[in-house]
Amino acid sequence: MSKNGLILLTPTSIAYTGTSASISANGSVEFSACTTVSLNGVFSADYDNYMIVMRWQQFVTDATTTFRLRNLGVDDSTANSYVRQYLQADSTTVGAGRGTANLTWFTNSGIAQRNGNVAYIYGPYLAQPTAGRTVGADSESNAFLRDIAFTHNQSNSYDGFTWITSNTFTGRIAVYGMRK
Amino acid sequence: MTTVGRWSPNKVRARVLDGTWAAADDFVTGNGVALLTPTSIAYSGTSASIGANGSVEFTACSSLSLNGVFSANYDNYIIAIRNVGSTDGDIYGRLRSAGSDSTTTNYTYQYLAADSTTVSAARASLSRFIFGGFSSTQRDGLNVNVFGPYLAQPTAVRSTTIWGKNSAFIYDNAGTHSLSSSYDGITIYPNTGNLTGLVSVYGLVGA
Repeated sequence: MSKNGLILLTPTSIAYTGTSASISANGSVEFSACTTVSLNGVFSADYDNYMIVMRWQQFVTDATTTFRLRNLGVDDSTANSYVRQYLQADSTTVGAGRGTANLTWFTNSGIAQRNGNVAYIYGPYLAQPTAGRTVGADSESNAFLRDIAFTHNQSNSYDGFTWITSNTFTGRIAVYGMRK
Repeated sequence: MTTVGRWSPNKVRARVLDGTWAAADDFVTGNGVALLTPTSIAYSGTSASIGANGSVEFTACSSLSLNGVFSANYDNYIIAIRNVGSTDGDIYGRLRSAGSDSTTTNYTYQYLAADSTTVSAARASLSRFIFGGFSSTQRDGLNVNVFGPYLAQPTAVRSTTIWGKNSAFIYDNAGTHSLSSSYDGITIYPNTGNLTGLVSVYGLVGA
């Protein structure tokens, strides 16, 4: 029997810093001029792995957006718990690097055009370390490619996340559970 | 056979031979992703047709246009392409509205390629996207994420690819289109020669 393999999820609640954010009828979250958007209760025991799809525009300056796992409404900002590896292409320059912090880089974000990104999060609700991978197109210099792989070393269960920018962004974010 | 069942919240939708009951969301059309059907297609080449499920199969085409596949029902899409080519080359893409391609120089692409131990990248502004490459010796596969084409705002695309050139070649592209116009379709075409394969467009529900 075939089944829907990808299920659009609805957060139990959201929190944000900025002008507005709301949960749409279908579960995706639309936000306007925010610096942080938090989705609570979107990871659960129903799914191990998730796909997050984002489209947004950023109007002030190019920036790197960041991400923290979150549980019961509180971000996990444990020092040095997130390790990121990026691979990017900026015109003819290919760059890569690894860093450790109390959050992870999530996407690049340009002001010129639309930005789009798909993130895969592996096992956030399991009380085990979490892994993630983002694949994006952003509009710094009109077109910029930066992919990020990250791990989080805390063996805790997380039911949500916070997406952060140093400027404001406007767009939509949707979370899908990958049926197991 | 032991029959083990569960009841869906509203009503029973189906029962299968192993005795398990289907969950309510097993049969929700378009839950998560929906395979879309173009309202029409246009092509140059030997043949192209819309299959019963909405995918488009094409043979020896030098261009293939899918009309009416982007709509207000979805913001973001995945285009999945498998193909082989008549030679080696690039696969281009153009946004399209009401049967006409957007051909002005409002596209910018940034590619990142890996060919054995050689990594390369470049950016350019042109009258088209580059989605990936095609080869005559192996199958090529591309997934193209398209962000917001139907919205009257700029559009972004990102492809992840396996190019059959030299048997295995990565040729990923990020791109933007700067016009704040609404597009309902896409044209896919090779820079030279022709393509044979299948293209499917999926709408990401709620995204």
